[in-house]
This record gives sequence, C-alpha cells and structure tokens, in this order.
Amino acid sequence: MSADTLVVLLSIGQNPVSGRPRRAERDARALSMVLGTGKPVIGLHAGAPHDALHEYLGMGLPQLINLNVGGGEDPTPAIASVLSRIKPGLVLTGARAEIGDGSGLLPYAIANRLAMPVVPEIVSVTFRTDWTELLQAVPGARRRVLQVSGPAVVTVGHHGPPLRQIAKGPARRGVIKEVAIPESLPLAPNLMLPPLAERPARKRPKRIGPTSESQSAQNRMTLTDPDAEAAAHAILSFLRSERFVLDPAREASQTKELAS
Amino acid sequence: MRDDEPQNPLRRDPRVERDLRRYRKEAAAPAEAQSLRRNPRAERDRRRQRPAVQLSGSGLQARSPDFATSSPQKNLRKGRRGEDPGAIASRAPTSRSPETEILRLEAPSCWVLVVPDTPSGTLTTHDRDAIAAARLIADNKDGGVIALAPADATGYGLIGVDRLVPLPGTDADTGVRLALVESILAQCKPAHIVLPDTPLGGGHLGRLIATRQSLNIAPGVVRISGGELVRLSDGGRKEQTLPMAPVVLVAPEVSDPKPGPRREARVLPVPAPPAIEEAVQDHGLLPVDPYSVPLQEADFIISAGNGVSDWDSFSELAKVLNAAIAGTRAVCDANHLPRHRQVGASGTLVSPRCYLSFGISGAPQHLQGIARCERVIAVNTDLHADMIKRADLAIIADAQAVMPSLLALLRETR
Ligand SMILES: Cc1cc2nc3c(=O)[nH]c(=O)nc-3n(C[C@H](O)[C@H](O)[C@H](O)COP(=O)(O)OP(=O)(O)OC[C@H]3O[C@@H](n4cnc5c(N)ncnc54)[C@H](O)[C@@H]3O)c2cc1C
Repeated sequence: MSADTLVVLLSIGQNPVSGRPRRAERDARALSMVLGTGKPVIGLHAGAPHDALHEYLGMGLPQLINLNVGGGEDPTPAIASVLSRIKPGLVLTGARAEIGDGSGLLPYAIANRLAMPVVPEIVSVTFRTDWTELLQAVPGARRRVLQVSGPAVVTVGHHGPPLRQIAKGPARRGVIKEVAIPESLPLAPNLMLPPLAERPARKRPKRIGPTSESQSAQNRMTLTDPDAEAAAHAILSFLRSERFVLDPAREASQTKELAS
Repeated sequence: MRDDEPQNPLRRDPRVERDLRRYRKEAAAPAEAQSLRRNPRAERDRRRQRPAVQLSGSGLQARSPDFATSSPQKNLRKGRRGEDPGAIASRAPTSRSPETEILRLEAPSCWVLVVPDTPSGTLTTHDRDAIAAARLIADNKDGGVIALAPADATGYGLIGVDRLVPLPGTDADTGVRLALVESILAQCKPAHIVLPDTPLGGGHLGRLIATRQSLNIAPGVVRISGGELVRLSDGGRKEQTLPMAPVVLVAPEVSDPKPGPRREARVLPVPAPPAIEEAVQDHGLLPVDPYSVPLQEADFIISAGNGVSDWDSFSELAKVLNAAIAGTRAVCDANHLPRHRQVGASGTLVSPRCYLSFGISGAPQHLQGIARCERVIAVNTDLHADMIKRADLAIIADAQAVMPSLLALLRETR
C-alpha cells in the first residue's frame, strides 16, 4: 500500500438522546470528507466488533478493518502498529470519542508514535500533486488554508461537510475484516489517570453575560455630536485597542492574516 | 508572606463570596455605578477619586482600555483579601504607592504554568478562566503562577500572575509556543501546566506537550475542587473525578476570576529556543463573505437598523473590516437584508467579541439577541436609545455621515 491510501479511524458512537449505539458523528464526518476524493480509503476500528460499524460501510466505505483490541485496553499501540504497516498518506479521525473518556488524546498519541503532525479542526481535504491542502475551521467562522506535504493525522470537529447518508444495501453487503493484534505489542503508558470516582453528570449553571473581569477593564464612553471624522477616529481607536482591527505598525508581523 | 496568602479558596464561603462580588462590582463599576444597592460611602469615595474623564469631543484618550493604567478605583483590588473592603476603599487613595501593595513571591513551593491562547494578543474569557484555575491550583499549594504571554502584555499582575514569560510575537504559532513551554519545563520544572481546552489553542498544545513529554493529562476539566479535578466523560453524560494532573486542560467557566492581591508579573528570562518545526504550512485565512458567515459563529459583526439608508457604505464597511453582516428585524422585514441575517429573539442569538451597530434603537427583542456580545459600539442619532445604553462606545451621530468617514479612514490607514 502507498502514501495514496487514506485511513479513517472509526469508533462506535452513541445517540445523545436515546443512548443507542450508532456511527460516531465526528468520525463519520471525517469519512464523508474523503470518500469521493478518488483515493483508496480504509476504515480502521480498534475494539470489539459491533453492528454499528455497518453504518460506515453504508456510507460507501469499501473496506473496514476491525482490530480486535480488548475492552478497556489502550488501542494506541495496536492502531499505530497497523498504521506503520499501511503507511497511509493521511490518518483522519473525529476530534474525540462519543463514549468512554472522550479525552481527544488518541490522535495525538498515535501521531507522536509515528512522528506525524496533528492538524485539528479540518473541514475539507484537497489532494494536489505534491501536497495536500487542508481547510481548517478557525473561531469566528473563518477558514485557514494549510498545506502538508508528508503524512499527517487530521482531526475533525463539528464543522465540515454534511454526513453522507447510510444506504441499506452497502451497509449489509460490506465486509469487515477482523484482525487479531500481535501478542508482543509493547504497552503504551495511559496518559489519562484512572478516575477516582464516576457518576452521572450534574447540570451546572451557566455564567450569565460577560464576567466582571472583562467588563471591569473597560470604561464606557459616549461621544455626543462629534463630527464624522472624530466619530470615525473614535471607532477605529476602539477597534484597535481591542484588536478587532490591526494597527498598521503591527501589520508587518501579521501579513499572513491579511494576505487573503 | 504567608499572611498575605488568601484563605483557602477551595471551600466556598457564601458570605465571603457575596462580599467579594459586591466589592468587585464596586471596584469595577464606572462612575455611573450600576450596583444593585447603593453604597453612599463608596460613592463618596469614588467621587473624590474620580479622574478627570472627558466624555465629549474626541476625548478617547481619557479612556483607559488597558488595566495597566488602572483608574484609582482599581487600586482597591490591590488590597488584601479578608480585609474589610470599605476600609481599603477609604484608605487606598491616600496610600497609593503601588510598590507597597504588590505581592512578591520569591521562592514559592511550586510553580503552575498557564498558557492562555491570547488570539491577536488579547485574553479571551476562557483564557481568564484558565488563569483563575491556575491561581486556584497554585494557592492550594502555596505556589506561584507563571504565564506565557504576548511580549506587550500588561495587567497580568492584577489577575494573579507572578511571573511572565514573553512570547516572541503577538501571534506566535504552536511551534513557537511548544518550544518555549518545553524550555520552561526544563528550566522551572512547574508542577502543573494549565491551558484552555480549545481545539486550535491550548487543547492542541496541551495534548502535544503531554504526548511528547509523557505527562499525565486531564482534558476538559469543568471544575477544580479540593485538589481534585472534575471532567465530563461519555459524551457529557457522566462526570469523573480525577487526581490533580501535570497537564490540566480546562473548559470555559472552570473557575471564576476573583479579585486578589496584585502580583508582580515579573518577566522571567527564558531563552527563546528555535520553534519546533510543524511540518504544516500556513497559507493564511480565506476572505470572509460578510453575507454568508454563520452569525452564531462570527466574532465580529456589523449590524444595521432602520437608521441606515446608505447600504453601499454599510456593506463596503463590512468587507473592509472583515466583519459579518447582520441587522434588526425592521431591516430584514424591509428586505434590505436576507432573513437569515436577523439578530434577536426571533432571529439569531449572537456572541461575537465585537458588535458594531448603526441606527439600531435597541428594542428588547434585539437586545436579547446580543446579550452575550463582549463589546458593543452604537452609532445612533438618539441619545436616549436603549442601544446607546448598552454600548461600550456610544456615538450620537448620523450613521450616513459616520460610515463613509470610517471607510475613508480605514482605507487611508491600510
Ligand atoms: C414578537 C416580536 C419579535 C421580535 N423579534 C425581533 C428580533 O428578533 N430582532 C429584532 O431586531 N427585532 C425584533 N422585533 C422588533 C423590535 O421590537 C423592533 O421593532 C426592531 O428591533 C427595531 O428595529 P430598528 O432598531 O432597526 O428600528 P427602529 O426602532 O425604527 O430604530 C431606528 C433607530 O435608528 C436611529 N436613527 C434614525 N436615523 C438615524 C441616522 N441617520 N443615523 C443613526 N441613527 C439613526 C433612531 O434614533 C432609532 O433609534 C420583534 C418584535 C416582536 C413584536
């Protein structure tokens, strides 16, 4: 297999309302992003076999490998060893799992083992001849253009393409290849300490409005009947002091932001 | 120095909290205090200390946007916790040599490093919560707080930071931060690193640090209590209690910023190492289409009401400012803007960092939509409009005159 291959790590999710197992939304979004790019895509699930995996096949995924990792075991070493054999161009996955710890550590642990960069919050992938172009969701509804030329681990959050529909036929017909993991795999240290206690989540009151700290930094200010220029200057100084607009003096270091 | 340490903040004392709230409000309230209950003594003291603030003309200089140039009221906050705030209020103006009131920590029992995201150089609310969390963890161990901050950062001493490690620039990327954090780890051996758990900022950096350095990590922490961490698991259905971890990634509102003694925020010299190569090339942001940016996600919104008639200037301004366009129901009803741009109770509830409004009266249904905006600018001909009352910067002027003028100014300075 070649650097052309894309591997999507797929986990079992849970319907937030009914609690029923299903495809994990973020993983499914990662899959939707690369199906139809023309590149070979392999799904990889580490854990016990599960019916919900067929939903990924129903989305048009031709091949799914199920790595039989025991429950409660850290799947990182197993996944990393399979990936180092496949040598994919990109590894994609949801930013965090819907069941279990949901620590969002897995992509980082795998990337660290395979010495790949992690590129978070990706909403689209375009393959060019010599590099891959990634579009990243940036707070404030903006998008950043990134390029990687080697293999990378890409994570997907809530932004991005809509989920592909699940077609019944392919979901039924698709094949899941079960693979046992070698016994001799070295264990990875689990970076998340085991919890001291676990209980149903309590609802916490949300803070209302902006906090005192951010408010107190500011005095209010009213300009009565300024001429248009004074008003414009006042608005611009305000926007600059809050850095909504950059100072020309600062721009040199920020050309990247403005290049577009 | 021990005496100066605030009492153990891990156990809640409702009475102290209430006093603190009130005290904070007094310290924070501008001259036209909005505290629920009046405090004649504090008001008198404030009147005495009032700086000469010019509220007309182009007297913007009179404002003090950054808390380094804090107004006298803020000196209240330098007072020791546990003392009667009133007593401080009456004493503060006379003994205003800041040196004597700064809490200096020389060799604390441990350090807690906090790495705020500071997008374009300023602290977000989430950043402030993370700094408050770092302060809480440090206080619990008689420790000190080190913050990684932009080179020109000011005011960090007021929010509980003992040492500052300046970043080489304002918008230092992950590679630079990672390298700097790793050299702080080597040099100062902090017991804990606290970061806001944001996908591109602290959450990314913290997970990189933990995996590279094989450090235990507690992500998504929603509460810190009694030296233990609480986080949500199972997609938010369960909560776990974890022991204190070396790397702590905190959710928004993990702890509330509280007033405490002013600290030094002394610059700690840490040699800037070469950035760790990220193997990812940044090719900049895509231009924003002001009409299609989802309003609930936007962090800079320019909004129009019935007082706008020069729609060309308005939409030009949006482009130049790279802001998302929105409007009131009135302008959407009149088909000046598409319906999906309506902000308010029956439109979108928005939470940008900045809401720049022209000719909006500020009807309750509209104000509901902007309740979570951090900064509001209002341009309106009517001094008594409710929008003017809500604004941080209020300008009583004709929108049709101000918009082209601002546009010209922006073009000239770019
Ligand atoms: C059930 C219900 C739901 C509603 N939901 C919403 C909602 O979701 N969103 C919403 O916005 N509204 C909503 N409304 C409508 C709301 O009550 C107001 O009518 C509306 O917000 C007013 O819009 P406006 O401020 O643009 O217009 P106006 O109230 O007409 O205000 C225009 C303002 O512009 C100023 N002005 C005039 N000329 C100039 C000038 N040349 N330069 C500068 N300023 C000038 C005036 O002083 C005035 O303050 C709702 C109402 C109802 C009953």
